[in-house]
Amino acid sequence: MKMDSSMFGRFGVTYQPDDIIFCEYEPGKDFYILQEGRVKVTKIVSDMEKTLDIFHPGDIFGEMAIIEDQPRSATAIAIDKVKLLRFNKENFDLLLQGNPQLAFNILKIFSNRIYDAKRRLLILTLPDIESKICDAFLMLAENQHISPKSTNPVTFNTKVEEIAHWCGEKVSKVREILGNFSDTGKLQIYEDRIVVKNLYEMFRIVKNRRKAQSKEE
Amino acid sequence: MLGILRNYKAGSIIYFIGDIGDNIYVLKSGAVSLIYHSIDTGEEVRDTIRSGEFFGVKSALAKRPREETALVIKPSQVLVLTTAEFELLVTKNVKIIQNFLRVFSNQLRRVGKQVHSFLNHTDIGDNQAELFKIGEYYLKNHKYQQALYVYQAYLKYYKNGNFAGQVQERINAINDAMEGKGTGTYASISQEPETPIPVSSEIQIETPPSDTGETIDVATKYYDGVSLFSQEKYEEAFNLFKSLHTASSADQRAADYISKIEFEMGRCLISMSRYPEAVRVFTSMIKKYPKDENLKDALYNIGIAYKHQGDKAKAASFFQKVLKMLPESPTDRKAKKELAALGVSAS
Repeated sequence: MKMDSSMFGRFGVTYQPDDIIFCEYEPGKDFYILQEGRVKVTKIVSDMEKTLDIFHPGDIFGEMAIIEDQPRSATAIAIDKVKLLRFNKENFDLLLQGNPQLAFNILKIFSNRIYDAKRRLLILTLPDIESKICDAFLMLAENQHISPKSTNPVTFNTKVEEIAHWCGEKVSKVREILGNFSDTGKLQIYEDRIVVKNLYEMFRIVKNRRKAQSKEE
Repeated sequence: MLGILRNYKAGSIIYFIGDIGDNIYVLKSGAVSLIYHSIDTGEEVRDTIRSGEFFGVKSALAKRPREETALVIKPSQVLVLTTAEFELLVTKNVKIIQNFLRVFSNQLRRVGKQVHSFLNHTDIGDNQAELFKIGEYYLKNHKYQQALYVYQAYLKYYKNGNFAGQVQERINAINDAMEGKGTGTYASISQEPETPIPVSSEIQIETPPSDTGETIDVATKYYDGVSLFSQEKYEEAFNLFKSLHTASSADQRAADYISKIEFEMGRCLISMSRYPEAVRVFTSMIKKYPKDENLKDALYNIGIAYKHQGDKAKAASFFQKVLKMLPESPTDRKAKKELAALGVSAS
């Protein structure tokens, strides 16, 4: 995204390689547009720093801060020497007025975020942990454009903790049930990945559970 | 004018829930209902679109399935736009985008609240402790710069927080190590017996009781070593790391530091031009800790050691290993540079 230099003068910030821009759990009100260099987004999961995404010039990140008063959900770290434009709720409208294309891109991001949030909510509305876990795998598959009807083994680069996070359940409980799944050959758990044998079976479990749920009401 | 006008009879469907479509609609006249089931209650909901209102925007922009069925209630005239036409239209009138952003952020906030209501039982509100833990993670992995940022953020937001005391101690220790204060003097350690040892990610609310001075303060000694290294006192640093390694091997609480100590020993050996020994140290470290944070750097350093020994082929193979490994890191660039210098292409 092209910005004139006066924008950088007013809103520009520079970071050196390895500098943290913001940190997971830190309260934050700013969001950023990447002008130069790359930024990685990481999360510490079971004592390992995992890179979730890498942003390139033109990308926008941290935008959830202008919507909700939640702390940051991940850490942003400069990979290279990085130039950013930094905005907040107060100067957001000013920014949009001067940059219609940027405003449109943010609109697209928000559209996607609503879908993601609703998809997550769908997992949480299931009545039991087993089907929640199955649905979490289905959601991860959708994100990777893998068909839920897949009957071939599917590898997910995920951990028990992450699945527990999506299910909103305690890690120990989720670990126990994943252990049962593993014992019955439904999946294999490795240190850095989980291989689901038959995604379609999970799809059917979730579908039946939802059907039963809507009949109850 | 952009788009095409279409007339619909009452009872016709403009799109079904689950359809994927690139069109965005504006109701010109008539009445359209959007029908969907509420996620949390499962009840059927009908939203009525009024003249002049857009619909189908979110799904078209996100390229996701329609969330509702658009049913025509009364004979209606609808303007049909492609996403590209919609973009052209609204970027000429930012006000429209701003209105949508307002609506969408309200929706996001609402869904976010619903999500949180399901998560009520988990320990929300412990952001303080989580922030502190992240600092501990970086400290443990000797990423001081990052640790420092996190600790300073902690103090900025939670000046009187539960961990403020510990955080301040950590900041002081890191600053000392970075500035090279109190280097090599073991005396300074015994003067601060209450400094907790950040060897585990578990939170220690209270300072652990010291074992009558027998506790090896691995963290503090470790900083001393790093500091000596930065002052180019490689021999001294190496000896310190070596003795620390021997002492830590027997101490469970120091287990997390061993791989880092080995890594630093390797770095010292390279700086002292003791290349074959450096290769041995890094190789053994990689074998023992194949998941270590410093894995890429260890591989890179082995490459450097081979380069100095004149073994170009082996050096190149290690630099290439670095580039094949995820996640990307600044080491990639260094490895690429070395490969270029060796006259080997990075791919």
